[in-house]
Amino acid sequence: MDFTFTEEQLLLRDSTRNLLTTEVTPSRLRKQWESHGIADADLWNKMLDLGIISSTIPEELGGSGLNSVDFVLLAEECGYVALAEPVVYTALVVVPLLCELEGDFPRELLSGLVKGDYRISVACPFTGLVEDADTSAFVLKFNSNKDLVACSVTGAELSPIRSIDPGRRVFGFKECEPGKVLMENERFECLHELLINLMAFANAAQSLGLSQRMLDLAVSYTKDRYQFRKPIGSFQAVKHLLANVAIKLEFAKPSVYRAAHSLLQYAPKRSLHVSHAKIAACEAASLAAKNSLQAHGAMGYTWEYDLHIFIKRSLVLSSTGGDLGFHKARLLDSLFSNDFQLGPTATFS
Amino acid sequence: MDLSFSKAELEFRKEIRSWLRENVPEEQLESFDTQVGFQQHRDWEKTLHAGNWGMVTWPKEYGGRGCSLIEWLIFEEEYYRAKAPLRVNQNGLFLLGPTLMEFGSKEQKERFLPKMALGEEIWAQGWSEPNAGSDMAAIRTKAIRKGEKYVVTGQKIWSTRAVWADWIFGMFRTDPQSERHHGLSFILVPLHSKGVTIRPIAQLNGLTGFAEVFFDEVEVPADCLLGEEGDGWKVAMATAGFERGLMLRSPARFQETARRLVDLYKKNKQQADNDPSIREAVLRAYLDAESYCLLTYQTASRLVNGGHIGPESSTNKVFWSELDQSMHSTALSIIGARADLMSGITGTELTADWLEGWLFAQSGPIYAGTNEVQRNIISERMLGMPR
Ligand SMILES: Cc1cc2nc3c(=O)[nH]c(=O)nc-3n(C[C@H](O)[C@H](O)[C@H](O)COP(=O)(O)OP(=O)(O)OC[C@H]3O[C@@H](n4cnc5c(N)ncnc54)[C@H](O)[C@@H]3O)c2cc1C
Repeated sequence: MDFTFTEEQLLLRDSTRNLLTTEVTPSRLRKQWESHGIADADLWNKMLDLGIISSTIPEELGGSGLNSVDFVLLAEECGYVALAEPVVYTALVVVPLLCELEGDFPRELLSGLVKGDYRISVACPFTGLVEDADTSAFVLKFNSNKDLVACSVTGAELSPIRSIDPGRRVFGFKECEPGKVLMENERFECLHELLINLMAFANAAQSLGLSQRMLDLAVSYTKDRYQFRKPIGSFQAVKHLLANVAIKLEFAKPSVYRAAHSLLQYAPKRSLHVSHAKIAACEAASLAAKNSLQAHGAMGYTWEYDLHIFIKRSLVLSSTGGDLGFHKARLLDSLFSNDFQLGPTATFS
Repeated sequence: MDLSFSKAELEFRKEIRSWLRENVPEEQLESFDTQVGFQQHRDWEKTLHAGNWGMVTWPKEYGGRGCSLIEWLIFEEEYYRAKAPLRVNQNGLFLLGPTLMEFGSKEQKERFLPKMALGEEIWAQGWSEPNAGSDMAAIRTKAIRKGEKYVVTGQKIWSTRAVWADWIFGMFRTDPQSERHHGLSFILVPLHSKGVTIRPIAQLNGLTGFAEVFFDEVEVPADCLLGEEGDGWKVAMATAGFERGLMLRSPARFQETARRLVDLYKKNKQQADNDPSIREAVLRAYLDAESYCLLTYQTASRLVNGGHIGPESSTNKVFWSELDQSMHSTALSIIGARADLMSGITGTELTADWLEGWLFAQSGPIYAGTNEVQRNIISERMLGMPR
């Protein structure tokens, strides 16, 4: 048993953090917001050059072969900066899904991704909506026959949808010709579950980083803001607001790391572990949003101040990738089934 | 105790209900935090006034109907039931109005109340300053008496509706040597005066719902002083009492939200029941909105019988603001996978309303005195716990 990350994994996290915090600044995100829905292509290219996009692609196809345990910390960092470009979905959803498939075409798609020839998105299995469809060449989706297909975006009908998070670029998607079948429907159940797990896990990991960001903003604000001749952070009520976030966050982290491990190992209970992670991390982020705003007073309620960038993103990460109702129901179904193992020896068995 | 409405009260309900049915605009007005919407809402105030519904509790000579607080609550119930537009002049009507009644001279009442009721003069509130938020006694904006005028210099911030409002009321330091709660006065300042600069501030929904107001040697007639010079703190506390205690948020608003929430739940029951906490939260919304209504009628009855609003008004403010937050997050949980979508696909019009409401609900525990400060007041002044 060793529930820690390796030196190497932590180093990679640190270098990614440095890079992301300098590149993905709030002012850069705002610029993208003001572009009326145009993607930040430079940022994507930068991530491509640095190998982040291809990091989870197997080495023999030109990627760096990171697995979900390696990448979870990077996803957290992407959440910390509220990275809107679909880096995490590419690395944690599109790539693992394609890696699951046999045949030449999926491999071809993966090589294209590594080379930066194009981008690939997935249709949300709950809503059918597609993130960043306009910058993608292909959309992976289940067709009405439940086959997994890759649809060409050329000629498809894209209808932009406005989210409360201006950084979220999401579209209604209707292909013009049936996509190329990647996997016939006999593996639908398994791939469908995998897709949901990957999305939920990606959102959970990012939510940890988001929570930390909101907490950091509030902690630093309450040190500098004075009322009644004291830093407001010295008032017990304010301390407790933020301490409660820290408690939630601290306990959300291991559930997300366990989910990373279970996905990697194809653990039989991986779906439940992902659901646990999604619930814990999104609840942490939602408390972080509420309490950090409260600790800021009116300043936090302004468009000029950056906190709302993260608040709005936390709402997106909570509603997508399976909402909390989906994940709770999935857990409850298992919990109350007769053969579900419970009690002190069950966690790692 | 008699928990039934009198015949007169029932008549009153009928009258306002039928007036609203005839007059409430069919199409929702634009947000009053846009220029167009502000004007639309101002016009709506004129319509209300024409029906004599501007502020029913005021005496007839000021544009009211001399109604009791109970009738005011009935009015509010009908108003929210009819989905009538929000009150753009709420700062004036609900907060300054009662303060003027209590502290204003006859001339002041005659000068300000009718125009307020008519929507001709829309009011902003000026308490907060960059360094005086929760600590309101740290106010530094000066109003120095020079002959028949006050000369105002300094800065207010977070003034709701100030972008297009006509007047601002608030607290100013009339004694420059004074400290903390002393030497403050309650003064009314026309926003169109020379020397006033308004910088709109955008809120989380992108609209400029409040503003920073700069005063550079602004001359204000001395008869814009409300109450005695130096008594500002006392007058302001009365206004804050109205705000927290009763007038700002009548229960109807939350009962209407709770009704919409139950409706939303029923329409999405199957999906909503995936999350066992939702059912409980919907029930809680109903119960809490109900309790808020009960407590408000109780308070109103007490006031009608000669009672006063005390520190327990702070319990009110905490209660409604947290109820509002929780109702809106429950709604978003019910909407689930599409909870962040504002427009572009069918069904999002409804979500957009909940999202707007959710954003605004986040500010409830901050404005009108933060909930942390209210809890300090409750524990220290209501419960007598050590400071
Ligand atoms: C939507 C909105 C509308 C507003 N409209 C108006 C308006 O029209 N006119 C106007 O004058 N103002 C208005 N305000 C301002 C509002 O009154 C202030 O935001 C509020 O009083 C808090 O002050 P602050 O924002 O400076 O926060 P701060 O006072 O800096 O507080 C920050 C945090 O510290 C906490 N804190 C501060 N002191 C203590 C303490 N002693 N004990 C425990 N915790 C403490 C607070 O609770 C809060 O969590 C509005 C604010 C909002 C959000």
